[in-house]
Amino acid sequence: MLSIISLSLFGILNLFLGFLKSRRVLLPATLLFIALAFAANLLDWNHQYVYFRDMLRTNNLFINFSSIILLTTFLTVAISRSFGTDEEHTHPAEYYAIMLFSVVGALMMVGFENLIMLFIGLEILSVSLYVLTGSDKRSLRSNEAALKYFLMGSFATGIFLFGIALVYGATGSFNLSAIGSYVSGGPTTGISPLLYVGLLFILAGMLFKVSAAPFHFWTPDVYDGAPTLFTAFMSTVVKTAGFAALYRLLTVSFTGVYGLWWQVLTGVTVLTLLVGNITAVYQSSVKRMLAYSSVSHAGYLLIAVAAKTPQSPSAILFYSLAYSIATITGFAVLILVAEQKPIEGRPDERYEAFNGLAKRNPLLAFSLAVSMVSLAGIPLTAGFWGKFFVFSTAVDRGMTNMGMVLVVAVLMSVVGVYYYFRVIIASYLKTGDSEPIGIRPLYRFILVLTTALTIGLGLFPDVVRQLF
Amino acid sequence: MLTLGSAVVVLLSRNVLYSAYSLLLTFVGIAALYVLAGADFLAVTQLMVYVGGVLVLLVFGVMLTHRGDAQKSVAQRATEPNVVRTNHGRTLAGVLVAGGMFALLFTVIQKADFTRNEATFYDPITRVSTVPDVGIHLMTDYALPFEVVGVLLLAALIGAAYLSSIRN
Amino acid sequence: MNTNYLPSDYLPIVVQLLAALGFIVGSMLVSHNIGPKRHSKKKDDPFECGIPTEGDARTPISVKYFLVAILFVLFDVEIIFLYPWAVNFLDWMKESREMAIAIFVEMILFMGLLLVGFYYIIRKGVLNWNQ
Repeated sequence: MLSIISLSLFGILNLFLGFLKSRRVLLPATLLFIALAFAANLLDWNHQYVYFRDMLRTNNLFINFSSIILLTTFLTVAISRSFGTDEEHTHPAEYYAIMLFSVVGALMMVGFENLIMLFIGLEILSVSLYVLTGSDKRSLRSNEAALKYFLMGSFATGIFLFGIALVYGATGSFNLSAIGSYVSGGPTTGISPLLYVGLLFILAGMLFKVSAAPFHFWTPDVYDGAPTLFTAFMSTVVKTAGFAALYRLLTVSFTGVYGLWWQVLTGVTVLTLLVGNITAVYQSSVKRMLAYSSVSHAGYLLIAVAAKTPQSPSAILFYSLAYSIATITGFAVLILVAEQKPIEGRPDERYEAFNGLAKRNPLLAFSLAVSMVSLAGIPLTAGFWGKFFVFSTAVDRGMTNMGMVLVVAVLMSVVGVYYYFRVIIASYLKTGDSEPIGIRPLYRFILVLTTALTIGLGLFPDVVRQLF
Repeated sequence: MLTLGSAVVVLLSRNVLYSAYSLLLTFVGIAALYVLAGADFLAVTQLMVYVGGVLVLLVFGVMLTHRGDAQKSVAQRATEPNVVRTNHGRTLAGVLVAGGMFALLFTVIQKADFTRNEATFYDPITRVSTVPDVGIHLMTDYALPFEVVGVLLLAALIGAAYLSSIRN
Repeated sequence: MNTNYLPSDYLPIVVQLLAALGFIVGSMLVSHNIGPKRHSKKKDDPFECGIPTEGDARTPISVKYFLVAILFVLFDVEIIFLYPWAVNFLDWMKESREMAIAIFVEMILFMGLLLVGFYYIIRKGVLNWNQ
């Protein structure tokens, strides 16, 4: 709770820091703000609070999820050096402030106890992201992406809101536990059909936001058009917050109708895995490949939600942590590499840009390789354990239910190895330019940190898992 | 009828400006429906925000857009009617989706048992204005969402100012 | 205060609306149909005192208007929130002092958030039309 309030204030503060003459103060200030919020967040460890007449609930799960979100934001902000000092057309104060606001929304989505809070959190997050997507005003692609995202996103929000209204019509409450007791308690007249339709609509809205398969069409265009930094932000923070919210909503409120949403989610999962992985193979741009890969990772995360075992939350947590760190590393390297040789004024994001990266900068190539290996789920990295935990929740649920999903998921992991390794092969085995790429100290530090985290979590997953 | 009719015009008109004006009628009609449903606060909100604000925005949006064919000479363009055309495609898919949605909602609403709710929630004869109730709940039960909406509006404000300021 | 109402209380509005619309539509119809009409190519051409037409009637207007409209909508939403608050405030004052203060602070917070945004916009020079 404290973290939410402080983040809102810091966001405003950040806005006004933008009026200062020097822009150098912004980046450290923002990093400091996020670190402060992170600390404030940890204060509540092992306490359970309910705030403002059942609007928000914080517990350890909330703190875990919000810590991941804050950590990801911290890493994203730290690699945002490109609009630092000189460029006239960038407005870092606004970017940082809006990022902080969107984190406020994400945290509300994690800790909501009332559907209204979920809705407002989702809205804050989405509105901020629309702006961030279009933040590169001179680029036509960025504008197009923002407009597409805005139109489709507001449509999804409308459906989501309609779903909430229908659920309210059925149960007479916005409160999660009240809805839960209505659903599982079973009113005398039977559950109103409004509830089922409402649940489906809410699911559609949420699945849109995490870009699961039938609702994923916006993802590649938007991720591709947005500035790479914000793509990294979008694909990590939104996923984590979205899955936290989805899991919380489904388990607290709708456990009673598990039979209904389980089937829907399994179908969506299979579709997401197939679409995400197979389309990713055919991409020629690394950025688009990463966009489709984020669709496919939504599929893996959905497995854990659909399985709904006691291990599910920790599996989701670990997976989103591993995924977020690896994705940020990937995008960080992409930003640097793509900037080297712009084609027609925009960064070169094709696979060919990575040719010979190992000779140009060994650190970049190595951290890229580690992050790709982690995303592919090869042992000794965090990604492997993430997949392992997710799959084991499915096994716990039972092969009769989840068997098909598991088969598809394992097959698709193999497909994933193919396209992730294309990048590694390009950077290590192919030859390209030989001019070295220089990196700044902070950037280097973040890359080393994320790589170390990925390998560390891969070697000793229990260190973090005990916390969850 | 008014609402439905003008909504159909919104969809079918090929001229964006006509669509915008018939949207006005649709909004007013919806406000009237809110009044009939006993939600007077909603009706006022609908009038103020949608009719007063969003529509102006829309019409401005139409005024801001360029017309497509720049090749024609100025004099030629001046004699043509100033309209922005919309494209109509995939009508069938749209009708199918909308029809499916309608069928789904219609069956669900028919199946839903409303009598039980009505007996407990509404007093069918005297209707009380909803404004004070809304205010009380907003300030007590829903205080936190209320404040957070402030943050949402602030974010939207900054975003709008950033995206549409022209100085770069 | 009379807070009870029926939908029929809104009937005067409908009557007023119908009268206004009816007058406009009626007078337009009548004037179009009564007056004589002669069409020819010359008469239907737009003309400006014999000078050939110049420019386009639809010049794209400045984006500043749009910005003002957006800001208007945002603050409009804020005013909507003020309305139910204001209606109740007197009752809260009567109820207890602490309650009124708490609720006043709530509203101040909300307004403060928006005022911060307003200040930001002014500082940013978004509303400055001279440039």
